[in-house]
Amino acid sequence: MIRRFFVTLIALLTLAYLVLPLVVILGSSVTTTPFLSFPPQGASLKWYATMLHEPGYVSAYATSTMLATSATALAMLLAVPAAIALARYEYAGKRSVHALLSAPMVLPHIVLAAALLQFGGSFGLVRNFPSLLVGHVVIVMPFILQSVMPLFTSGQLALEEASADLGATRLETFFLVTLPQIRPGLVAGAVIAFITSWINVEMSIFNTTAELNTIPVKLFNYVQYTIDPTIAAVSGATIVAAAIAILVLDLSIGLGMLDETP
Amino acid sequence: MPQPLLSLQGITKSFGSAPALREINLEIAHGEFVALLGPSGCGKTTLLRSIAGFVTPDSGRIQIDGVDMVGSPPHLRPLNTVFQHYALFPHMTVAQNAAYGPLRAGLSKREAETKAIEALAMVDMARFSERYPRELSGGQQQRVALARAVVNRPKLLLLDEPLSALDMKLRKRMQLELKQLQSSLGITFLFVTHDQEEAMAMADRIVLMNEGRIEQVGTGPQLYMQPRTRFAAEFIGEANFFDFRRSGGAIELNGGLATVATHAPDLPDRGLAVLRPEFLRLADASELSLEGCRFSATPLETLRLGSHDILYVQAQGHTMSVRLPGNRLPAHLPDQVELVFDPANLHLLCQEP
Amino acid sequence: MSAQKFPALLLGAALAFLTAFFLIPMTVVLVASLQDKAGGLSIAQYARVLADSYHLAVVLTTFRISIFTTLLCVALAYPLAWYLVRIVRWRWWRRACVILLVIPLFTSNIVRSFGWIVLLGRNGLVNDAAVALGLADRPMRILGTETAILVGMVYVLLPLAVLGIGNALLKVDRALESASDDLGATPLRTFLHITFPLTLPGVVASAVMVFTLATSAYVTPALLSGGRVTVLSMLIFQQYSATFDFSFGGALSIVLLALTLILVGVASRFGKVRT
Repeated sequence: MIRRFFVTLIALLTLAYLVLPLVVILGSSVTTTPFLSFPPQGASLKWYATMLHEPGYVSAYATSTMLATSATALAMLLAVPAAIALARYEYAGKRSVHALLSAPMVLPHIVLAAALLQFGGSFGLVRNFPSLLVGHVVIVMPFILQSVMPLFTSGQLALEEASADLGATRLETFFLVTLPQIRPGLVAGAVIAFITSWINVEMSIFNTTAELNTIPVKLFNYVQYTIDPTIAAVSGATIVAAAIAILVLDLSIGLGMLDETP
Repeated sequence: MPQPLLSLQGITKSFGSAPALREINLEIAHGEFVALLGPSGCGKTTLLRSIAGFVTPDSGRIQIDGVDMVGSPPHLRPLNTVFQHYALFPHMTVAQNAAYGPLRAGLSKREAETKAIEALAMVDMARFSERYPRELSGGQQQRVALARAVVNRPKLLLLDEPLSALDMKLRKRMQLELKQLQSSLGITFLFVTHDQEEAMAMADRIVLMNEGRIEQVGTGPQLYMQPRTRFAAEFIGEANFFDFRRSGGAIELNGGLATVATHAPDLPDRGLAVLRPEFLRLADASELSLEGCRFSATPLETLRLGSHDILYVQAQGHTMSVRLPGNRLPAHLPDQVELVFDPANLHLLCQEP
Repeated sequence: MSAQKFPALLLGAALAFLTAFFLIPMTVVLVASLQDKAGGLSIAQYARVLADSYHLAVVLTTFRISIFTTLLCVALAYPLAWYLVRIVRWRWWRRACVILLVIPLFTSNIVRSFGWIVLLGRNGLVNDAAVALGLADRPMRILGTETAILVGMVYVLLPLAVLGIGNALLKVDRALESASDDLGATPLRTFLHITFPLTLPGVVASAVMVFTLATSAYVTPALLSGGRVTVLSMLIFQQYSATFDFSFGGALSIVLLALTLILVGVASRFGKVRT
């Protein structure tokens, strides 16, 4: 039917629109020319090699990864007990607590970063790894919280009660029953947290230095002045990494987005 | 008098402004099989969970074998629970589920395993020990949940609507098996159900609850034949109600429908009388002199259910049901029928209607 | 297990962390915003934001771009969501499309904007195509206009809108549509009177989310503005990295923050949008 055709057409064009820039970046990253060109002239991976040999990029990759890893780990340590406190207890002010813990997810990152700069700057928490870590933990913790909380269902509560009924202490119940059950949410949340931290610019931009840099900030600074195939290669690498991450996630846990309800 | 296993004194609990339990007092002896019976919202599950320790009462005492349980968390109470949807740990095998309790109690892995297999054998599930709960049917999961709960030989076993998720035939079979298990283990069972037939089938004593209060406690037959309130009469079995009024040495039913001579000593002036449907029968035309009460009624509807028939009639504006053995009713009933009953089967309720 | 007392042990760490590194810094910003040049308490900085014509223009530009971004996002997201939820029959293709949709979300905004820098540049594909098709005599300047920012922002936020609207579509009870058909409505009328209204809360929630993210976005406008367009977040960044006027920066931040909170409040009325 005609309407279906038009909707499909728009949809596919939109999909093309979504894919186009990524294709352009990947394409121009393999050009043999020393300037950016799309379609690429020739095909070569030399710009990827250049990127891997430049210590600035390598250390930025390392910093980004270390930052994302530690931010995710710290966020998990903070968020999991908080999730239990929100899901299993009743007390005054619970909604405010939940709002506070979720707030960084909806508020402008540039504002959060500026606030941390002003606050941290007054006692030396600037331009070092801890200053980066703190900002990243603040913005990724809500993702872990949001990912884990739905798993505290009434069925899960019954399991925890059964565990207590059978003689397990609260700690034993947490490690033997709760943790294995919330693991899918924990993993999904950790992945989202990791990626969110890795690609984030705003929370890093005030605290990076020449020696302590993240890939997104490095890219951001570079791109404003010049664009060349090396930058395309760096960007291409992140696209490939994102694609792999998504595929792994979907194949293992299943993204479960827009799936038809059975 | 031997010490009761479970003693509840003055248990009260409200959730916010909604009262769930009002002054519950109850004693359960060792080795009893007791049912908490009532409609949804009557408080039976809240009471069970209070005994288990998942709900803290606002006031009152819970004692198990004389030991006060208030302040004692669930994992320290000498009882175990079988949950309504079994709550089997999905990430553990059947054997690991059953061994969970003994391991937490400090037994070695080998000892725990032995006890687990032993308990599973009792419910005929030993051969499924390496399976995971999701691979089992509902009935099988139920047995595993049972084994997991009894492996520790608790003093008291609580069961929260254990059979509600099973289909009819399986339920009937499990009812029998639960009874057998209970008597062979000697553990006191306290189970919650909304199904009065189930309570009657399994329990030594039934605690009937309504709106947070204990309505009546007794054996099945006691509750059936001598209900104390209208609610009790209606909840268990079918009931026909008559308003009665004392007139002389007799009571008059429904403003003159029938008069029953009675020698009961302290009769209230007026009240409610209950007659179970199976105690009404159709009078033969030939029965002229009888020792019963008879009255006329208009047949409304007939349900022929194979093993028995139910005839709905109307007399003086009141609808009643008559339960007859199957296959006795003629195909067509006259406009008026004569019903007869033995006044000895008429039960007067203590309370005002 | 529930208790009436506050689970301090469980919440302590998280609350302490967020208080130290979120609440207090925000308070510092708020206090700074209420100081004038002399250091006294005043709302002079806020007056600067709203009274100064340049600053007001920045705010208006931000709004303008955000509104158009939202409208375009919703306009494009609905057909794509409809396609994925209602038209696509092969599960593997739907899954592949969703993966394609989500991959950009997992790449940095710089990378995504960088692609548009390449595409929209004077030597980029868009200009090449325009000249080749005869739409223009020579390459136009696209980068450094609001249009470029718009294109980039729609690009960045579209996947979120698709997921949000897609979820809203999934929740529609198909039985209601069948009932409508059964009662004699054409497919178009069923859509207009039954389906679309049912998805409206989800659509509005997605729209508000897109608008919120658009107003607070920094990277995409910064990269595609070419120095010629300024939005609120860029102005804020300037105060903290160049001018070091933390008081004015504070006022700008609080204005943006307040705006976001209002929008979030509005959005929560329409139910949660889960991505």
